[in-house]
Amino acid sequence: MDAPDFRTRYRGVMARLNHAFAVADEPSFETLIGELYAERDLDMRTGIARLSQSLADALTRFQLDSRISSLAEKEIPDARLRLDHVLKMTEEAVHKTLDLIEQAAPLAEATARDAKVLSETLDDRSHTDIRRFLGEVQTNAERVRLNLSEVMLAQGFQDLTGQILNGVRTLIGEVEAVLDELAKMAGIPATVASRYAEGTGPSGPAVPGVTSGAVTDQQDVDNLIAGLGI
Amino acid sequence: MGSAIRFLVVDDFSTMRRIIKNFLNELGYNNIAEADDGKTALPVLKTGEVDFLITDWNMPGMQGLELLRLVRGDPATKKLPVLMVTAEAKREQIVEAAQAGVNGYVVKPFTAATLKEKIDKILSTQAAG
Repeated sequence: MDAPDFRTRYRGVMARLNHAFAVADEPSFETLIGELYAERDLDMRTGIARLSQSLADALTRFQLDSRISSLAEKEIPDARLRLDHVLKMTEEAVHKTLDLIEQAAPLAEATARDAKVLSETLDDRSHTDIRRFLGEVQTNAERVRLNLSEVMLAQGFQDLTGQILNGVRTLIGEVEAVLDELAKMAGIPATVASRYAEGTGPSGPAVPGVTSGAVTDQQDVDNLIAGLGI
Repeated sequence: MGSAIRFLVVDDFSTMRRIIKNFLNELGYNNIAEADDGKTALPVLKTGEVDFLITDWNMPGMQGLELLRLVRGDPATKKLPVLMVTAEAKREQIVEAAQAGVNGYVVKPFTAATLKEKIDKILSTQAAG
């Protein structure tokens, strides 16, 4: 409290105190002293209330620090969803691979079987059968080739799952950095540097239930692109 | 004639580069260079020996979108056909790539038919232009 405020504040009561003292009015003097005490008491209680409110605010801020709250409420659950999605994608890719292999294997098997039968029964009158067989060989071999091509493309899941895993790895790095910061605040020596800056660039493969504003399939992309005049 | 086209495939995942390269081989294109991000792609582009660029978006070092902008900003490569093959599937990203001058956009995972269709479409547009 600076001087002018202090003097302004107490000028009135001092004048009345002086007057009561000068005229030896003891009851008034005691009442005025009592009022001064009451005022001092109120000031102290207001101060304590303000202090405890600040303390409560600080604790709330600490608990609900945006990064920590974002990690707890969104990013960690998102990370779980992403890992679930990785499992689903790898499972789907393996099924697709198995489907294509199951389609390709009997074709190769039939080709081999027919070739064996034909070679065992081949005679001069077999030209028609040979032509039919060669036609089948061509069709089946082409089918096998196309299936194997699709098998190859299906392996692209490794790129997509890898990107998602990389995202989760970065997130874990951030969690480490936040925990490291908390450890510093608690006076525990730091071991992890805050080297995991928050990414602002591309977001990687769309994850159902996590990514918003993504296209749903290539047709969607084509429509969007066509709409842009490309 | 198709086999004479020189491709540059840019992707940080070696598996994806291999898949695209094998697929291009199946389509009859055998002249294929590879790079694992925009930074390593630039020197290859500077040689002037690339007719068709296929690039991922999300890569360490230099990303596909920045590579596309640099390609469009360089008089020597500004008309180079660029097909983006990426997992980035947000509408605003596709719009961004279109505005940066991409010729085609394929979202991973893609089918053989989709990739072939986009490559053929870009090449026929180029031939017509």
